[in-house]
Amino acid sequence: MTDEGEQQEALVKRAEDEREEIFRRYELGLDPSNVVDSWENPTFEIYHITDKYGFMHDSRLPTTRNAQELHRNNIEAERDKKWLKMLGHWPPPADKLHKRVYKGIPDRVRWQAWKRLLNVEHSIASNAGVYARMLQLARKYSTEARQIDADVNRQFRDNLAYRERYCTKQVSLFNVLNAYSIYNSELGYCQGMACVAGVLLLYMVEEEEAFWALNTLITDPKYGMHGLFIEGFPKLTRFIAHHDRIMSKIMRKLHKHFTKHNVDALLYAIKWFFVVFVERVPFSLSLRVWDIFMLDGDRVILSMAITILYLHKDELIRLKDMDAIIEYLQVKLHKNFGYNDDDAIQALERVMKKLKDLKLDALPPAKSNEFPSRKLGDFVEADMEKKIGRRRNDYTDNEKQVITDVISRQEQNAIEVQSTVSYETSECATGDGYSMKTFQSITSLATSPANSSYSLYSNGFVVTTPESAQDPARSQSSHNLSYLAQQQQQPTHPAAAAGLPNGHHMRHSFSSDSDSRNRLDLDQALEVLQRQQVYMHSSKTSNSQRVYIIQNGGGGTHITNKDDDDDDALSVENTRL
Amino acid sequence: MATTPRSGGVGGAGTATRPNGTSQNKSCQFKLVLLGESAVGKSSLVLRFVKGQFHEYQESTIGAAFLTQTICIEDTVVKFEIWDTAGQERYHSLAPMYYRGAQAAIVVYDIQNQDSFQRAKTWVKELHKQASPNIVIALAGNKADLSNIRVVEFDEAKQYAEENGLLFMETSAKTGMNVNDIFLAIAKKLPKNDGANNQGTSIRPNGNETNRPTNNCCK
Repeated sequence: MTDEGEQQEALVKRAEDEREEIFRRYELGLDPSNVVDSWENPTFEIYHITDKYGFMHDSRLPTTRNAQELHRNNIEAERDKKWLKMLGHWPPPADKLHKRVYKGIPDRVRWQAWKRLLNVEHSIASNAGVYARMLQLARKYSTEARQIDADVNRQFRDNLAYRERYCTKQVSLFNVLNAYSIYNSELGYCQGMACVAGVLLLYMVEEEEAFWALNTLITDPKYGMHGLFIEGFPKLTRFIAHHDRIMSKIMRKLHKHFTKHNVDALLYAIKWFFVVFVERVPFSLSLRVWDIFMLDGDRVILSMAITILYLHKDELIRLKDMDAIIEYLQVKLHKNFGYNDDDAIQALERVMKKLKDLKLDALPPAKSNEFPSRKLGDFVEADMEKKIGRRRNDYTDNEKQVITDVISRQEQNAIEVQSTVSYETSECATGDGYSMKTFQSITSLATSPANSSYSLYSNGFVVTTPESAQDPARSQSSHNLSYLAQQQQQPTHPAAAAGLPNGHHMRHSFSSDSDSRNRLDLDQALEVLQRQQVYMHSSKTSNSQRVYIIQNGGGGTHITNKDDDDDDALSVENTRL
Repeated sequence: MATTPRSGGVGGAGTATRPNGTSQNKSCQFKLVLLGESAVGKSSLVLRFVKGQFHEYQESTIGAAFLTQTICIEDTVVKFEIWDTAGQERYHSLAPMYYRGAQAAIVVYDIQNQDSFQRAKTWVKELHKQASPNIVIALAGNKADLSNIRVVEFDEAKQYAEENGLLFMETSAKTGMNVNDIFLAIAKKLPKNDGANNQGTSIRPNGNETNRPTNNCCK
């Protein structure tokens, strides 16, 4: 027989076997021995419940697209082309880039765009071999492996990419974080970084790219996440203090509401700031925020926080207890933001502009400890404590500072509300409780000289504050506290404020003015000044303030009914879905 | 907030209304903080207690989470304000913000992890030193469903707890074992009369205790 003949015979045999096998399977029918791949069964739900980002949902996603979605897809396809062209002629003009980033980077080109915005290729080219070396060192010396392992094991496990234990993405995430903890040994690893690196890795294949993208977000002062994640969280406290300042100026009612219900910004803002809103707003919206974050840097984070609270302030004010408010911010907004992404981003853009106009976008300058002081990539072997993972018994100076900062900010907020409420209603009239203990502790705080210790805890916990005298936030807070002391002595005499030293009057008109319902709001004042309008106000009814605005440009006289809170200064449209 | 207790052990849990509507019922509110090393199951214990759920891959807690749950013991309605903290060493400096003024703490370790038990002891030490003097501390050896691969012996932990005046239970957030019980035991141990309850709280975590009259128990 010829070779050809043999070949033919083999082919016939194969066809027969195949037929045999197929018939056999059908003959077995539902017999348990008839094992099928899970995807062959209708019970295999994963593809029905997985969205375009790979996240699995509780129930099936719609199979048909509505007209709106089709329209959006068409737009995105057009944008793909424009972006590909733009990426080929990098860098584009700033205004064009700005416009396109705010419209949202199309998902298909997102990684290429992020890479450009974060200068990843340049970092790789100028650090040849560094990632591989860091990874090798991490294999030998990483002291963070246990924590990173614990976090990789639970990061984005509802995403197909990270779903299986020890799958490729999990391995990459583990590697990148360990290598980075060696590269930036001062920072090491902080919870939150797994989420940031996790998002980066969703969009890229190469670990090395993710590594350098992460490094830029952490060490480039434009993003400065180092200061968020480093021991003592200096940037977090700076940002939260500024966040509070913005709140107290443009969303006073909500700020008061939060303080009254013990909702401290620390509770919701850590996660918002540390992972730039991932897992706190819908994933698609967090990507849009990331796009803008990569373009415009860290000021976006503060603006987005204000935007979220602004868009939801009415609902939040309706919630009358702390757990409902926290649930709303931590869970509800992630599941359903209530606004589509485009509307939310438009609101963000307006808030950013507004904060700039009101000169509230400029943060107090960063402290030196927000940036790496050690040379990146220089390998430093960990000390024994770190190697064996033993916990320190004492707080470091940086840690004491965060405790001091947070507590004095919280007390300042409480005092603002306290002094407001005590004049306003009988709601908390018991004054006594608040009272002496608080009063004593804050008096000691207010009168403590620089470099001294003072007790913040009734049980004698002692915090030392070396910088207290220089720190403007502290002295502001001390000032408020000493003001309260005066107030407590003359509780029936709100006009005591008039006798205070200069320079803080505006502040006082915030914290103590509800006795006189004719208050001059700074935010209103700024708003009006900014529009070059002259305004005056008359006495008004209990909750709202009637403000007569006379437009400078010779227009008619507009009579606006202002709410107690001048939130509408932001004039963000509430386009509900 | 819908809170369905998993077991019927704690009657009337999940609702703040008084079960029989009589005016004799007292109501108390306690601040409770969870401390312990990372990934020992703090958030899972809370989730089980508050919502009766268990997530295999509970996201890591960044900063802290806050939840409440109400239970009834005898004629008293006890509302727990639960502060669930991040376990990583880095977040240690934020812990005082959460345990300040707390009337109760659950220090959690993982029975498969000796190191987490050592860290639990460090937390207990810190609480004894820094927290309110009358704080009720419970030690929870979590992941008890994995007791076949345990490293920390029950007797060892029990003895430590007795020596330090702690409540002690081995718990499993996964199966629900002892989860309601440990909260219930804490509630029983907490003083439920006016005088005993408001000491140790100088300022509420965020300062304004006067707005929370319920803090003074049993109106």
